[in-house]
Amino acid sequence: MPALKRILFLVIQIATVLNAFGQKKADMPRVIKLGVATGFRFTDVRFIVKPSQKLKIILSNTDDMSHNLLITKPGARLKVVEDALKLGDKGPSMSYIPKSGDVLWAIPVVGPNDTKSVIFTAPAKKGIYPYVCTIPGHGYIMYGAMYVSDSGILPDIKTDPNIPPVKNAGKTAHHPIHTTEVLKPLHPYTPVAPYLYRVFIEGASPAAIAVSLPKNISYCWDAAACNLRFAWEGGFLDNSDLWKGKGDAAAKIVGTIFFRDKTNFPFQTDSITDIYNRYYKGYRLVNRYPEFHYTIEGLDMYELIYPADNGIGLIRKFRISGAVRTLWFNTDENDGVSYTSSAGEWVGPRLKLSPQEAKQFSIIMTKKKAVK
Amino acid sequence: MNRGYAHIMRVLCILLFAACGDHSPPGPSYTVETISMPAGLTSETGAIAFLPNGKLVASFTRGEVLIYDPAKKTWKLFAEGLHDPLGIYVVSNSELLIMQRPELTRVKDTDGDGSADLYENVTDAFGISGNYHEFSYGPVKDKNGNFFIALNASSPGGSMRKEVRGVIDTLGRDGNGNGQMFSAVPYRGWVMKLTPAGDLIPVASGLRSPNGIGFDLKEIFSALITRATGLERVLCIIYSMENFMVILQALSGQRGGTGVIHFIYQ
Repeated sequence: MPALKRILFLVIQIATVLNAFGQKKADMPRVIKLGVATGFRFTDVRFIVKPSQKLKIILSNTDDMSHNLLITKPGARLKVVEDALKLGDKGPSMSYIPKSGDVLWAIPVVGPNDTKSVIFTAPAKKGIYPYVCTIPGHGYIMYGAMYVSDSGILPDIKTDPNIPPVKNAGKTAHHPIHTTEVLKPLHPYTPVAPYLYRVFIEGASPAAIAVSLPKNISYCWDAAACNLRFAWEGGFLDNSDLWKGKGDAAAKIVGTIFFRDKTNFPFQTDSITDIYNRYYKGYRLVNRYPEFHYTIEGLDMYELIYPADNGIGLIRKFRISGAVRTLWFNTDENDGVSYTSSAGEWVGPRLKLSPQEAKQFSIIMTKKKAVK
Repeated sequence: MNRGYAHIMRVLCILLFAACGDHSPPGPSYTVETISMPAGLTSETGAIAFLPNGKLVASFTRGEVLIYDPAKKTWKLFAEGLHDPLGIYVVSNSELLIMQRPELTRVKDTDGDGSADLYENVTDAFGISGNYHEFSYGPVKDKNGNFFIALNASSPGGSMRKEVRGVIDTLGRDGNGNGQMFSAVPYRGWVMKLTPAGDLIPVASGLRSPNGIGFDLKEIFSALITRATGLERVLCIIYSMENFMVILQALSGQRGGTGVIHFIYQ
């Protein structure tokens, strides 16, 4: 092809593309992107469009479950949800979209990590058009509202009856509260220390037990490790992330950690230096303080933890039955606390306990003045 | 009316409606009674059961176990601090077995003051990765005294925690590990049998969310398993475990360990 002809061809091509682009821009749909938030919720529970506006709704399924999106006539959401349910066995093959005049537009089922969209022209008639996921069970809580209006003004979101209610997420009184936030009670009673939560928390196994003690001291005892993992001063926990949505989160510690176990497991006998097989047996509440029970190598171990009488620290009361050999309690100088005990003999950072002494003794841990 | 309660009632009505069909003759009726929930409760209900004395016991997401006295119309706190308690087996008026995330726990009032003081580990011989989806269900008891519990599979929409309980084995996770449900610590997605001797034995695998287990009328092996809203199956199909194993073998590997099960219990 001669060079001139080639250039002419390119120019024509560019002109065609530009022309098409110009035309497209004029009636290019407004794009509304929706994702899926935790707990059966669209990331946006409402949006506002103009009458007869051209729209493209893109549903990106960021959830681990499949979802669809149907836009219904005003007020027809629940009817459509129930129509979808009545599809029964046919539901999956029909993407849970019932054949109904109440369904205006629909995005079929979108699998996890998938994206689908729908293009349509908004109704000329102003009104509130619900959108909803009609996969069985989802439609009662997973919905939103498309406002078709010239005004561009939406009602107060806190009292908007056309969107799903926002869940009350738990926050402790020690957590800084945003001024506009309404603080609802966390329980049908006011927890008074000592009390505990079995909870997911950083720095412990998923079988952790977090305990709030009087004197603003808290600790985490791990039922998988059968051991006190760490302790903190200040508040207790902020469970708000944990209690909203599906709970893909951990409780947050409110306060400052002053002790963290570094021994893996502190007890050791003369005969065995390796890690013991530990079996968690449970806890009993003694005046609401939990006394943990576990076994190691034929020993029955009980541990009951109180706040220290003086300063910031813990009193760990042990009862051990079945000991026939010397028992060692190991500590680490970098764990943040200093130690005293009611029985036994300290050999450097290790407490040596005779079988008789091991039957009942206390270890007092006090926060070190200056922790490096 | 409370939202959580209202939702449960709606689901119950739907299930009853579905069970009755369109043309069935009117059967025995029942009375619907609305019980108001105590103030301050976020009543995301995990489990409901009745005590021998006629009182109602219910557990909630934030770990409370409350007992309702229908005569006095009052709620009383029985236990607290549990981790997503989703199943209650009533032993007596003062003793419950409660399935919570980390373990099956005996929750007992030993001093007769009306609230539990003993929280005993009945079994925790299964793994937890800390993935949010690892809900635990049950227990139900068979005529031989075995208990069955059901352990959810883990979700690609959630994470595994740095520290887990159980040995991690990621064999069977799909390619990038993002697409499908998985079972990377022991017995996620399994139904387990707890023998009277205390051994926890795996009996059926490949379940995504086996959130309802029970027995058929003959009480042969047969825990019946319902499955929550799934990847593409509808809500609450009931499966029979006896047939389960065979079908799962046919599908193993197809969905990262949680097969789509095509057998429907009849």
